[in-house]
Amino acid sequence: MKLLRPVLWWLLAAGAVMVAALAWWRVRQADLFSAPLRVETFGGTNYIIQLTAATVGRVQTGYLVIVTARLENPNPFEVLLQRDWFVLTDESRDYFQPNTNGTQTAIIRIPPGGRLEREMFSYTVSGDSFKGWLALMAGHQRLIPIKSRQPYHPHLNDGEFVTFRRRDW
Amino acid sequence: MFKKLRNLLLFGLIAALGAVIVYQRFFWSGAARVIRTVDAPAVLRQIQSLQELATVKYTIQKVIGLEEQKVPFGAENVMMVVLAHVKAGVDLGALRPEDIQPGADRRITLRLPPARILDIYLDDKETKVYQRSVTWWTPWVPNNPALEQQARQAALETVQLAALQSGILSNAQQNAETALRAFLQAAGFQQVTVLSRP
Repeated sequence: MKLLRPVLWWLLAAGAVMVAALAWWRVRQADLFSAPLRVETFGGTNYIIQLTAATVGRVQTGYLVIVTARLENPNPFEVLLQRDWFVLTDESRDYFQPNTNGTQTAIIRIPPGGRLEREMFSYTVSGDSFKGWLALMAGHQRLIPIKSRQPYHPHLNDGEFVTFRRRDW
Repeated sequence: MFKKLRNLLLFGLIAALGAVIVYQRFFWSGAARVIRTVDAPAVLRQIQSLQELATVKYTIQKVIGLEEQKVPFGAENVMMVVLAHVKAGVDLGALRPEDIQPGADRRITLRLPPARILDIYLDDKETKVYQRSVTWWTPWVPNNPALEQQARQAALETVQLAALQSGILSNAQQNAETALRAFLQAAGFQQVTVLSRP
């Protein structure tokens, strides 16, 4: 028993270190995910985008990816962004246009010096898109990763969603 | 002299009356002829004033579960039953002058913009949160006050897709064509052709 006690302590310490390392890794991935980025429109106007969440849901015909972002306009004039510019792309270079048929308007207006705290972009994708990375194209030639390269198997039923605030999924 | 003049006047009056009756009987074709000319911009303004014409409404109920992965560990769950209404129709404000082509003999051809979803909203009376929980081994994880709002947004997206898959747009387009055909016929057009703009 006396011999086992230090081994147990070592095991506990090793476990704690591993948990701490994993926690550090996940916090870092969350920081990377939600880092604010200055991007340019196709016309050259600056604005700032910061991802806040990526939500994956199951629908009847496939999967729904909802990317929530915070948009900020540092300019003294109104910035108009077309929702179609925010294309989702996967590792096999399939491109998905955001849904603009419903409540989400085709034009996003950011007032001068203002911000939109919760702008949503929703995409209908197939399950194959989760085999590799996923990224959001924002502005001019800018790819913002929202998912790691590792395959993700969403075990979701119709109407079930899961939200991530980090990249490593 | 006075009597002769009176007879002459009376005769003249009777002759004039007879001439009017003969003209009406043989040369005048019934009621006053009103020449209707179709003023395309006026028709456009009238139709545009209808603005967004909602022609169909779907009511969809869904069960939505949303799990939020916390950083670094844990998760928070919310499960809701939502009832949503989806309205679809055509935006008549998007009609262009070239979409209205008046023809002869009270004919008119109208090209409608494609139908789209005009409104989606949740029925708050019928939308309920059934379950809300945090992983038991991470009790320190703070509740996200916006989680229910996120679930509602996800529900709206799901409902929208479900409505689209159920053919709400084709239904809305057909209803809009029928409604506008009836509207224009009531406005005096005899032959109304309603087409859909690609």
